[in-house]
Amino acid sequence: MVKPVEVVQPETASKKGRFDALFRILRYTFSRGIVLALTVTVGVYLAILIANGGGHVDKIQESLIREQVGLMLAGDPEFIKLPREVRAEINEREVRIRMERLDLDKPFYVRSHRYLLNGLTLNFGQATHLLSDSGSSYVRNILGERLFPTLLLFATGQLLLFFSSVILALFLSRRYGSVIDKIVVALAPTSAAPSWFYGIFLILIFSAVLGWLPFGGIVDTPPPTGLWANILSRLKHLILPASALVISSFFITVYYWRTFFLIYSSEDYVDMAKAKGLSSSVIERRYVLRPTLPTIITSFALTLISMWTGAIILETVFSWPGIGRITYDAINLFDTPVIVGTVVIYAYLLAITVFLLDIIYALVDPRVKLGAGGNRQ
Amino acid sequence: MVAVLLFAVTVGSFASEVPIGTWVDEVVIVLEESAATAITRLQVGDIDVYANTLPDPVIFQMVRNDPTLGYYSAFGSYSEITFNTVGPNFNDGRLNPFNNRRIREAMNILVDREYVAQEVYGGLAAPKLTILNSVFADYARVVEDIKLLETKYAPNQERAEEIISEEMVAMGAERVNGVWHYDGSPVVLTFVIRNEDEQRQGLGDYVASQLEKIGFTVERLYRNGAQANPIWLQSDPWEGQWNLYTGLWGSPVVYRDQGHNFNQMYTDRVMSYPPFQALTPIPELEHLAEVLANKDFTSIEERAEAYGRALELSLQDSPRIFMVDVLGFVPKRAEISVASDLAGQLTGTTLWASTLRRGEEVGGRVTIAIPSVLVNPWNPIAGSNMTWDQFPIRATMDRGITVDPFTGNYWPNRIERAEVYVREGLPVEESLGWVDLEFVEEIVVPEDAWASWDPVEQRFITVAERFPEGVTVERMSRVYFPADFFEKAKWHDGSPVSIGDILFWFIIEFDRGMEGSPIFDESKKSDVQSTLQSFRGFRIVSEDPLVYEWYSNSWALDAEMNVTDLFPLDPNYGKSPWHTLALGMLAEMNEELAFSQDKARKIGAEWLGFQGGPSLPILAKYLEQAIEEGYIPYENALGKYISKEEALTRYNNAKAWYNDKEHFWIGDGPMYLEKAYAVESTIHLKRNPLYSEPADKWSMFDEPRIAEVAVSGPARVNRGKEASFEVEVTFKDEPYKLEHMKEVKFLILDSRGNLITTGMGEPVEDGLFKINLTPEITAQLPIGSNTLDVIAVPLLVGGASFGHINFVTLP
Repeated sequence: MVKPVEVVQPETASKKGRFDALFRILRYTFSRGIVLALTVTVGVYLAILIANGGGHVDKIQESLIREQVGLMLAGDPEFIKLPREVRAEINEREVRIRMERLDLDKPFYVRSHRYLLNGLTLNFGQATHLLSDSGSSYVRNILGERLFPTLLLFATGQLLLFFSSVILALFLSRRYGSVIDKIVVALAPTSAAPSWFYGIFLILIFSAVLGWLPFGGIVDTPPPTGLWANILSRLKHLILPASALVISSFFITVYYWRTFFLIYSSEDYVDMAKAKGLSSSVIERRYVLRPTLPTIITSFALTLISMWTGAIILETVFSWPGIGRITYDAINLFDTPVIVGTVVIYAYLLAITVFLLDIIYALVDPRVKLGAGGNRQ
Repeated sequence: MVAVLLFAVTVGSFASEVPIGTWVDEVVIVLEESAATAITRLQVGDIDVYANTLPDPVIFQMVRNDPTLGYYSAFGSYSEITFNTVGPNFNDGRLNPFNNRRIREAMNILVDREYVAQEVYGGLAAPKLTILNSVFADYARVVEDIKLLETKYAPNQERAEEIISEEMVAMGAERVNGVWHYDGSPVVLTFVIRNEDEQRQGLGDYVASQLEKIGFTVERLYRNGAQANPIWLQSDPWEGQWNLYTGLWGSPVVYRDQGHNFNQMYTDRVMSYPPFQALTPIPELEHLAEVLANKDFTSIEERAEAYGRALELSLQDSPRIFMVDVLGFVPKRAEISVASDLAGQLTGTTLWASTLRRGEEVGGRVTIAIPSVLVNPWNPIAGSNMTWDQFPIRATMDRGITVDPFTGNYWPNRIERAEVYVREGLPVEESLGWVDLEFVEEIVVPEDAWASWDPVEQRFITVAERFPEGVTVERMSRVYFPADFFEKAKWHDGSPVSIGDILFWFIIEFDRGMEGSPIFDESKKSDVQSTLQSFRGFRIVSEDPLVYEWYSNSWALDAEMNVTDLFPLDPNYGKSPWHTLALGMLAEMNEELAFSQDKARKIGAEWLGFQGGPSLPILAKYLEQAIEEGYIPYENALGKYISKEEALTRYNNAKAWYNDKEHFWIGDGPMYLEKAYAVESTIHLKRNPLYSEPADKWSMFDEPRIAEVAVSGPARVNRGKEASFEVEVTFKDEPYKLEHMKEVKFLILDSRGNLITTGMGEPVEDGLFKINLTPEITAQLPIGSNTLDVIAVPLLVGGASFGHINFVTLP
């Protein structure tokens, strides 16, 4: 017996499809959110454990406190005259005060959970050792004051690097084997040297020898009082460190993108488009850029969040007040709240970026769908 | 001589071109962490001074070879090797050779300090046998003893090996194939070597290789400070986690009295760390250490005798052996001159701002780089005492006295004169001519003097209350300020200095450390406890002109250093007027800010900083409140000295200052803070137009006059016949003035280093002394080679200079 065929009306099908899609997206969002939250939590807790050497750092900190107190009291000639037991009492009191200041009077596991909870809720509280440049002990101020200089340098450098290298790479992918292509390929190994290495050279040439640009710092000293003079001064100080950033990665990045575009340029559908007689700009836009867009966007997004990490040595070479140096100082001083602060912010930025990228992929690449079991189709 | 020096100091030159306060108009302090970059910046004129003590011999040669650059020397740090002295066996049975005193003593001759100074430190160090720093006053006081000890402990590896072998065998060890074994296993020495700088690591490697040469197996643990501390400083020495450690000590200022150091370095009385607590010094050394620390002697000669013996015993005991005095340098542009402390360089002296000058120029700007800018918040109660913060702070503060950067003694700055009374029998000496020193049988503290503070009732506690039976003290200083002091001395915001400023400081120093105070801070408690140990009374004799008396049981060898400066009482954190400190008090009472970092953390507030940052809006809020209420801090006690009108005038001055400069760092020094740029790591200081003293007031401290000594005389001396030697004492090839010389001493040693005789050189003229060896003296000389060691002790610098000549004694 032939069963009657249920005919689905187009409108009903469309509504159901939309509902399914919405459900899929919500389900995907929820499950992805859970996974990312768990990843962030585990990552941050691991960072706390590592920063404290699993609690071993407490021993080091106590040792340093006892040394500091001992030296401080030894320098007071009146203290020496006190009876031995009074001296011992004072010594222990001073140690206790400092231990309490650093929260070392509480067991590590208690602190570690508090660090985690505070970090995840973005309530970083007070640093244990570090202060912000203006003297604040709050982690939000310590990191906040360094945010603008960091973004200024790394946004300028990374964006310049990203766009210039992608554009040049596209250009080279059309001129494979040309003289300029060969030059770029030949220069690619120069990126083996880090940015600070180029920074030192740039300082030597443009500051020490030519005297055209400043040795370092973020602005002239003392900073100009006029708005435009101040902005120009900051731009002048930006040139060398940003150039060092760009130069150190420029050729390898161009080489990378140029190879990437070349692979896509040799796809069959590109040859087909060429055979159809489409213009090279149309081919580039529709048949090369479009399918590579998710990769480009991913790279761009990761470039953006990498700005948060700064670059310790480059910042040091140029006396640039960036996040990298403060993180380095925090690690050296075992300042867990600051370490947690930088890690949490980075982890959140990364998680949010990964999450958004999934959505953006679906928008820019018709082959990608969200949900459906959480798998890309 | 004294009159000449005093005249030069107090009057100075009042030539018309001498500006007020400072020679330069502005100083910009900038950040530079890299020494190499700093030198390049100096060479191209981007900065003028790199105010950081550098130990690098390669950079030093670069500076020396560049005619556009110059440098100042700094002698403040010194290295040593610390031994774990417990034993002879650790808990696990391993042998610890350094429990053996003779082995430790022999280590002094196993090492060649001259080699270390030249090869490891590239010449930027001087051999150091004893605890004393060669540019400090005590070194000159006992220099003969040190010279003899240097001869006794001259490097002698064979002898060292012999002694160590004897003792190792006696301890049950045996040498198998050249390697020391104990209980069948090699004797392994664990050497914690600090690796932050090349020289310190090189020192550790050198000592380790010397030990390996005589059969020890050395395990080298290269560690930074944080990693090394738990091992050597905090672990139980009996666990045997370490045997040796490369120590480094620093002196931020030139000390006049290092007598307390024996207590610190050789006994368990001072340092609370386990390796110090485990020390078992020679009983006589332990006794002498206490004698010197407590100044339990009645004459300088008695002290010198105790000192000499303590030095001798300290080498016999040797829980640590000193290696070298590190000779750091501070590079600068050649045309820049500035006072630079012999220990703490220019960051260590309050005189840097007033002496800083570019050639003969008046005005202009000087840029100084330092490796860290704006480290901690500035507040003069318990703010930053970091060197890099104190450096700019010192330019903004004035003091009653000023510390001589070359000798460490005190000169009067705002103070006009002082009288010092000490109990008879105390070996106090006056040397600079501005203090009247008097020895008295008894010093009774007047009943109406203030002896303490009541934090609850907010009133002074008198001597009659604290010591109903009456009390006497060892020392009293009566300090006189000039009649026009309150007219001339002004804070940067224009407010005249008043007696309220001085009394406020006195009160708050006690109040914060006393339970019951609204601003009680537990971290201050120990300090007050320590102060009350010796402080007995403070009395205002006259309010205007200001004259006060300070009664105490603590005293110093130099009469000048017995003068108590209350302007300010504690200069270690800076200085502010009472009207800005009162704002801080209000903020702390309301738990919005705290003077100390400990309390800030405890109450969850920010650490108070007057120079900028999150404190400013809070202070501005309390400024408005203070204006509204006409707030007088400690009104119960200070209401008599501070009127409502004065308070309002001051608060309004501070408000105008804050509106203009956007900070509350108001001082009274020759420069004021124009602005502290936090993120930009820049500090901008400007000349204080309200300052009253001329810029050349301290021009005598433009550079340390370290004497050079040359000895000439006969190559042969006949026994029983007179011989004469000439000693030339110069500075930069110019004769050293006799009035600036304390003395020239000499020692004659035989070829084995035995002392034959000592004596004094006779002054002939500026730069020239004569040493006459009478027939009686030459008759004592052994036949053969002898050495005449000459020690020149100038008044203008802390240490001594040396020269010597060898001659042959004939029958």
